[in-house]
Amino acid sequence: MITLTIEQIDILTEFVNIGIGRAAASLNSMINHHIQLHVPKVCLIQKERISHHFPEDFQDISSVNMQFSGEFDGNAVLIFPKESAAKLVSSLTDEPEDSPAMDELKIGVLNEVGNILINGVMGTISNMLQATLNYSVSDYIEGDLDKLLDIGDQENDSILIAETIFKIHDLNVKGSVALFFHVTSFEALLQLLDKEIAA
Amino acid sequence: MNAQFNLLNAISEGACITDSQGNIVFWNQRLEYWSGITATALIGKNIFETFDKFNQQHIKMRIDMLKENSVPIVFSAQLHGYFIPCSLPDGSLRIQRTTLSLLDDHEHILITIQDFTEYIRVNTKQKAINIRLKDELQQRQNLEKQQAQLISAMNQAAESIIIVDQSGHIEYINQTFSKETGWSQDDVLNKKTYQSLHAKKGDNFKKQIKATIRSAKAWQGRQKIKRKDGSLFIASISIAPIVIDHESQVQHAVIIQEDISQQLTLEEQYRNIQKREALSTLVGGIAHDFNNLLAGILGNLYLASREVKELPKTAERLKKVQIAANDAADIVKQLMTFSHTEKVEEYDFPLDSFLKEINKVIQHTVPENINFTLDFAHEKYSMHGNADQLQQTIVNIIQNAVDACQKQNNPTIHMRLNIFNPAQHPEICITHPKLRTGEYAHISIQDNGSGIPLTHQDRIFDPFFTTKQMGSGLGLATSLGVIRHHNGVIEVDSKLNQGTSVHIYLPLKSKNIIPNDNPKELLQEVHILLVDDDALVRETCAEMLESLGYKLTLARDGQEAVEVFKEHSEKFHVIIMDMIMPRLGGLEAAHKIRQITSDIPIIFATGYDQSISIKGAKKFENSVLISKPFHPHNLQEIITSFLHQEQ
Repeated sequence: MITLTIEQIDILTEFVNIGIGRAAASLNSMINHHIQLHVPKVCLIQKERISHHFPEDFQDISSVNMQFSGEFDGNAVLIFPKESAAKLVSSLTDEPEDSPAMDELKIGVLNEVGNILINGVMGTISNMLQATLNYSVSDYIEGDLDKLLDIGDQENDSILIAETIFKIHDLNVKGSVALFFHVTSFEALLQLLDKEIAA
Repeated sequence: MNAQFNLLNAISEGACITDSQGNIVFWNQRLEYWSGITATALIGKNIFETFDKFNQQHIKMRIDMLKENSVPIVFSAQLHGYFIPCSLPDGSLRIQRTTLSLLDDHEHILITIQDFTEYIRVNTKQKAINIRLKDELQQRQNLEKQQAQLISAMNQAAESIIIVDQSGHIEYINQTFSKETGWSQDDVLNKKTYQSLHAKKGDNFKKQIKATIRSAKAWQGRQKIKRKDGSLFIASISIAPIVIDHESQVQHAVIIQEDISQQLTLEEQYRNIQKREALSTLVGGIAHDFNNLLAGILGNLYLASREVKELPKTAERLKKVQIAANDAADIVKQLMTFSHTEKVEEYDFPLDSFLKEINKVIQHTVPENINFTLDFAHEKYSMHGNADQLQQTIVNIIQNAVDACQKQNNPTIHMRLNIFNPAQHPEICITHPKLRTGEYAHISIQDNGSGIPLTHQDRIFDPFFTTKQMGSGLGLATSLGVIRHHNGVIEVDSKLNQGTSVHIYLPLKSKNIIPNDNPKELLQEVHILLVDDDALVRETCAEMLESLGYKLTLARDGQEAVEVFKEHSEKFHVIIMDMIMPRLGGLEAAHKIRQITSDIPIIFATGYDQSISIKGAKKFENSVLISKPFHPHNLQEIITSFLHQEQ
């Protein structure tokens, strides 16, 4: 089982924070509301522990998934409780929240939000570590949390989770950016991190 | 260069490829079709300069990030609408989802455009439909709620509610209607008309419903309505047309029906009470005047008869006059009883011995051919009032029953006494609310006689109303007066040729209020001093009292009475004292006796008008004034009440 050193956690937290910061700037310039994004903590869990990690309101989720490959492979996933996703979309579009169900238009908005966040985080990580990565176009997944277990190939994948809080007006929406890594890929990431730390 | 992208002409999405500077190198046929701009016209032009929306700072920033880290960019349809204006025939622009991806050579950017116009159109329409359906659902739910409330309110209404169509067919009845009439929904809905429930055929009620609907004007009235069991009741009915809107024709009417039988009965009873009160006042006034006159006549007759002892013929005539005057006095007495103006003594007496006494009297009143039964609970209750008056009342009623049934086959009179339970007879309590509180004895006298015609039933308590040839018409009037005086209720229930039941309700005192004395033991201890100057009265009265078990000492006038009492004052319990006597009158003698024993009970007896003697007798506490001749039971009751007071 892979564990992170304090230095590794520090540097990853910093990368995620930089990426989220860029994403917030991008979101703020795109819509009329001021959005604050916070990443209180970053942690690493094993894939099979995913349902234990998230609180109960995350059991029914809406998520945006982008696959990446290159020097390390994996999936970057932005996860929201389903009702929170609908609230976030209606806040961003200034439309009344008529139903928690996600239609194609709402999915499009959430996709774009996920795209911006993942773009920020992954772009920062790949830039900082000077890693070349290729990405798929983002897609939308909804259902119970176990659906995320289908992401990736192996059960013992590691997941780097960055809890993210969106603040729009009085609305506080809690989501998570989860980076799913295959074991070998994560080791590659850690090697790059260590190299960066050493530098 | 273009040739390698030609495959993108086959996809259903718009596709454009630029170089890293934004110069357009490929423009697929779908975009040509959507935008109306040919590839030839665009290739080589810069996308940021050609299409303004790409030239926005924050868009360019994101595109720079794409170039920097090659993470594809998604621009949602809802947040951005479109980047490349593509007009639709109606002049609106296609709504697009735009995706930018860096190609593997990191030199070109692929822009793909999905047309979301139709989806948004359908979605918008769907949303509008959903909103409308939601509104309609909400309205329907509100209507259903209102309807449920309305139906619940209608069912809980005290009145019957019926809705009929223009031909009078019943469309709705509430639960009260079913309870009131016995007709269920299945009995009446669309099967029978409301008019058919109307008891009297051939009148214009059916027309009235039609006219109400036709004229759209309300109607009110009273009708007899037939219940399912065939019985009838009078209902107050109002019919109102149901106006849904002012333009449409009235097709239905709502009928509010209220059973007012009880109300009418109460109104009738109230009228009767008013009538009797008025009659009572009138009779009382006349009787009082007559009583005073008769008192004068009788007093003077008594004196005159003493003065004409030497003239036998005159004495004989005076005696006849006296008999007639006494008869007149009896009638006046009864009238005074009816009008409550007669002053009567009241005391507690046990209910069971009261009834036993009545039973003895009845044995002599009811002929042998009539089967008379008496049924009463042997409970130790007592009543307060005048036992004589009540006894006379019951005897009067039994006499009426005897008269009514003696010509019937198997004539029967059944008298019953029980303790009234208001819970078992709510209908009586509605008519007579005072029966709800306190305890009442219920005495019923039932015969199987000829019954009272309906037309007479309202008048039977009126003074001088009689159907008997020799009747005075005062029996029931007096009974009513006595019962009312005792705070009781009297009710008559009679059916022609079936019989009559008279129900008397009298307030009871608490159970066991009178100690369970042995009357004989009590009587043996009572010693009476009887004072009367008339030897016949003295001897007769003494004999009667001795027969009741009292011990007696006799005195011929007041003087003798004072002397006897002075010698043996401790042995006397009660004194019966005549008022007018030679040597020393009753009042003077009483004064002297009271100086010896201040609280000895004295019964003043007078043959004159009581009103003359009352003033003097009233000054004496613990005394009563009674008229001669004495009724033994009356005298016994008075003596007993004095003895209980002493205890």
